[in-house]
Parts: sequence; C-alpha cells; structure tokens
Amino acid sequence: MVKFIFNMKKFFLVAIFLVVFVFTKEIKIGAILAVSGPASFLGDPELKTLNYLVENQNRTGGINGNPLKLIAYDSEGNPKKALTFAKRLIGRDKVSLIIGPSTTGETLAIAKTIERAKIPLIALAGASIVTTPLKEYIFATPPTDKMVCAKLFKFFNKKQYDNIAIISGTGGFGKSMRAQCLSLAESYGINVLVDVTYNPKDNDMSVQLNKIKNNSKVDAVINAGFGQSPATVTRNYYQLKIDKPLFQSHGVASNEFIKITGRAGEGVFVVGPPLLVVDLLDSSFPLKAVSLQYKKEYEERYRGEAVSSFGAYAYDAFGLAKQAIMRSKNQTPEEIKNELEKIKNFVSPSGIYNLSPTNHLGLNEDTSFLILRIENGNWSIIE
Amino acid sequence: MNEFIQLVFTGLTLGFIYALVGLGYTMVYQTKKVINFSQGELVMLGGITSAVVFEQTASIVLALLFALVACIFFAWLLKKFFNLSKNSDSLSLIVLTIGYAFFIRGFVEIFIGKNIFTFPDFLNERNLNIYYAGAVFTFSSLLISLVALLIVLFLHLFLKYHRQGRAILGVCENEQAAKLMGIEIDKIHGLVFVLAAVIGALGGVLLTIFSSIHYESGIILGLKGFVAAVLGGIGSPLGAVLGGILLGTFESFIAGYFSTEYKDAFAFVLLILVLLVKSDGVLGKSY
Repeated sequence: MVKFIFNMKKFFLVAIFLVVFVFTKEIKIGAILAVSGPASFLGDPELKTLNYLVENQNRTGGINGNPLKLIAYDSEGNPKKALTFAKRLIGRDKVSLIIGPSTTGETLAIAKTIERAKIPLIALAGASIVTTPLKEYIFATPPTDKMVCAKLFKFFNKKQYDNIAIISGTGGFGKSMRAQCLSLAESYGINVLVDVTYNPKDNDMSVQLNKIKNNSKVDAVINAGFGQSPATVTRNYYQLKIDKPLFQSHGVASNEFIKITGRAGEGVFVVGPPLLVVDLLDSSFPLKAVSLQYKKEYEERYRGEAVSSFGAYAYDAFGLAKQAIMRSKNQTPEEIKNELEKIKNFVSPSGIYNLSPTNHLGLNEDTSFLILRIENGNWSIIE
Repeated sequence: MNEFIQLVFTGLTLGFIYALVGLGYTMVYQTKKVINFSQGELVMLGGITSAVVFEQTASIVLALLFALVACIFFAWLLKKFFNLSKNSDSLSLIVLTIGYAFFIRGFVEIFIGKNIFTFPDFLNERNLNIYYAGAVFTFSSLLISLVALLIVLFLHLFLKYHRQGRAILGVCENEQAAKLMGIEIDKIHGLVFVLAAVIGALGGVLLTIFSSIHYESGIILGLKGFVAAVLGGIGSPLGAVLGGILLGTFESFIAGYFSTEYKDAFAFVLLILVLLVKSDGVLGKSY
C-alpha cells in the first residue's frame, strides 16, 4: 500500500512536469557578442545588459507566460567565429531570434547564413551598410555615422558654416564616416575645402592640421576618428592655436575623453548620444525617462560600472525583440520578423524606432544624437 | 613654407621618440648580440605606469620613479630568463624576447586596463611652445629632443671614460677575452639591461607627456625603434639617434606631401634601400 502511494506520488510529479512542459514553451534567444578581444568594450556591456534583462523578464513570468532562455556566445570580434556560432545557434540551438554581432565585419560575415536560414537578426553594429541595402531578416539598433553627418550639417546650416574641413583616420571608423559626410555634404550645401587623413596609430597630427590652419576660408572642422587618435587631434589643434570650432564624432562620446584631453578639450564640440548626458537632459526630452531607467537598472545590478551607449544598443534590441515576440502568436521566426517590421514609435535609449518592411533601422538623427560641448570640464548640451 | 617647417618640427619629434626606443635595442645588442623585441613594450610600460601614478599622486617625481622601478624590474626579470636558458643560441633568445613582449602587454592589459593614458597638461604647455611662421614646436617636443641628446652624450662619456663603461665595450669586443681580464660578464649584462630599461622608461614618460599611450602602443613603437636602430647601424648610440631622425622626418614628409596611408610602407622601403646600399646602416662599419 505504502509502495502504491509512493508510486502515485511519482506519477503525479511526472504528470505535472509533462503538463508544464507542454503548455509553457521556452523561447530561445541567441546572442553573438564580442565579449572578449579587441571589441570587448562593445560586447561586455552588451552581454551584461542582456543578462540582467532576461533575468528580470523571467522573474516576472517571461513573455506571455513563456520563460526566455538566452544562449550567448563570445565571438571575440572574429568574423569566422561569429559565423560558426551563427550556424550553431540556427542548427543546434534552434533559436527564434538572434541579437548581435557587436561589430560590422562580423555582421556582414553571417548575413548570408541568416538570410538563408530565415531567422531574424538584430545587429548591434553601427555602419549603415548593415541595413542599407535592405536585407530581409537583418535589423539593427545603433545609430549610424550617416546620421552623425546629417546632425552636424543641420547644425552647420543654422550657424552658416558653409565651408568646412574634414580630418579623418584611415581606420574603418574614420573611412566610413568620411565617405558618408562627403556624400551628404552637397545636399546640405556644404563645401568640403580640406580633406586630410591620418593613421590612427600616430602620435602627432600637426602636419595634417597645419593644412587646415592655412586655409583661411574654413569655418568649421570635423574629425572622424575613434580611440586614441581624436585625443591627439584635439591636443595638436590646441597647440597649433587654430581658432575654428572643432567637431568630434560619436567615436569619442565618453567622459574618458574629457579627462584625457584636459585643457585642450575645452570648447570642443562632440556629437553624442543622449544617454551620455542623461542627468542634464530636459525632462521634456522623449528619451529621458527610458535612459534614466536603463542607467539605474544597470548601475544597480553591476555596481561600480558606468552605463555605456554600447550596452544601450543591446537594451534597444531586447526591447524590440520583446515587443515582437509578445505580439506574435506562435513565436515562429517568420512571425517575429513580420512583427518587428510593424513596430512604430518605440522609445528606447538610442532613439525612437519606426520600423517598416523597407526600413530595418528606423532611427532619426534629431533624437538619437545631441550636439554637446565641453565647458569647464563638463558636458553642456548645445542642441 | 609654413607647412614645410611644420613637417620638419613634427619629423624631428617623431625621430627623437624613435631614437629613444632604438637606443634600448642598441645597448642590448652591443653586448648580448640579441635583438630585444620587448624594448617597445618597456617604453609602453614606463609611460603607462607614470601616467597612472601621476593620476593618483599628482607628483611628477613619484611618477618618474615608479616608471623607472617598473621598467628595471621587468628588464631584470628578462635577464633572469636569459640566465635560465644559458646555453641557448641567440635565435632562441630573440624568440624569448618576443614572447616576453606579449607577456608585458598582457600584464598591462589585465592589471592596468585598456584605457588611454596621458598626462594632464600640467605645464600649461601652450605658453612654453615655440611658434615659428605659424608652425609649432611644442615644449614636450623640445624636452624629448633634449633628453635624447643628453642620453647620447652621457652614453658616449660613460662608455669612454667610466670603468664600467669601458668594461661594457670590452665585453662588446670579445666576451671571452673580457672574462679572462677579470670582468664579471654577468654583472655587465645586468648593467646593460638596466641602462636599456632606464632609457625605455624615460622615453615612455616623455612620449606620454607629448601624446598619449595605451597597452597596444608598444608594438608599433618597438617596430619603429628597431628600424631606427638598424638604419643608423645597430650597436652605435649616435647611429640610433641619426636613424630615428632620418625615419621620423622621412615619415613626416611622406605623410605631408604624399599619403598618410602608405607612410609606414615607405618607412620600411627606406629601411630596405639603406640596407641594400650600406648593409650596416648609416653609421655602421662596412665589412
């Protein structure tokens, strides 16, 4: 008798498990991120953001009662590894959606595989080439360098800076932004009088800046660079006493830049994401509430680490994915992709997303970027 | 004209930086007949240590001191590794220095981080700069040039007149004979490593004051310093300085008048050309 009851217990346990298993379906989200390696400054905050978001979501019952499972791989910024992991996520893990990769090279490397497998991908890579020309299953969240140029040129039009100089690094970042700015300039009625380049690893750019200094018609100067080089440009610009306004790109938008440029950085303009100056934003600014929330959640979860605009790309991607999964009936990849294309006016820290079957980025430079200026060792919002 | 002057100023500064790295190569090569490929990383280590210490203490003396200690320690460690592999030929020792370069880079990456480091403009340099016809020769450029020249002068006097210096020359000439004359070879090697480390540390600190530095800066610095040393004739301190200036001004003119992108390629072509014409470098003895 005792044995029989024991067996009944076992039977019920198994039955409950079966019921739970059949009626709640785990939703698998894949992620390919450059958590270590040279692009770890992107992948590390991205993974941390996804981890805590999935945790929080599961604590409140997942999406429509279905728990989420995040399967994340570290691609180390290597396109070959990204491709291997993409195949694994599609073939073995059978995920419904993939977030990542962190870099443009990796995204382009897996694009064909993704299109063939018809799994929606929300890339966290910043070059315009990811979403233009349009690829059916590939979306992206980061604002692009093209938007930075547009933001700058609108500002220049207002200030009547018609003649400008562009100095850019010969690395991927500088090359891409230089090309975007040059192709956009004409439509804003802006003449690029001086166009010089530098090797991002160099310790001195006085030679190139001297060419700009010698052209008295130049009204403003744009530097398209990333990492160590913009600080060097700023320093040499200051030493050469060039009196034209200097505009740095989103590649330097961090508090670190103010610290390393010091006196030379005073008065320099920077195109930056609203998240960088979230505390200074006017309360009517549409992204303020969501940016503050992200900052608070992230900095509480990972004590001692400051929130970054790179992690925000993952926050945007998760938000978009969540909404699409919530609205789709059976959570098939096809449905999720169709729902992603219907998302309108989605407010997230990197901007307001208006997606459509022909636009897989859907951001606008007016809210995604601000023109900032370094004044007395601090940011101030110009526009 | 204005542009030309700026090209010269920039070229000279770059040249003296390369020279400071090249001097380290020269010192070790003279006695040990080994190219120490971790010299560039020592320069990076010196620069980054000084910037970190300056950030914490705001004292330039302490910053310099810590940079010296860090560089000497790592040079001493390399010397220990050399001693452990006593019977190896110079090829395996060279490979050892390449591995050691990766070790220093990794060490800095893990324990100091991947940030960019620099000195705040504590001198308010703009008031001290030399402006000439619209071009600028910054105060830190001047500092770099002076220190590099002083080091060469010091090395020259030291090698010629000091007992230990003459012992170093003795070891260069003939290690066996020097040993028989009662010179403690191991001590001399140690001294040379310390000298190279001190020059590296000074170079790193100056470079960080002039520009900025991060954990990967050592790779290209090491490469350019090596080219400078070879151009000038490896083994001669004055040659390293001449080689550095030659390389720096050449690079600067290529960047200014031709192309930034192919600047480095041209620098290495210059190396090949010089070696073809004069295989021992500009100041080297021709056999």
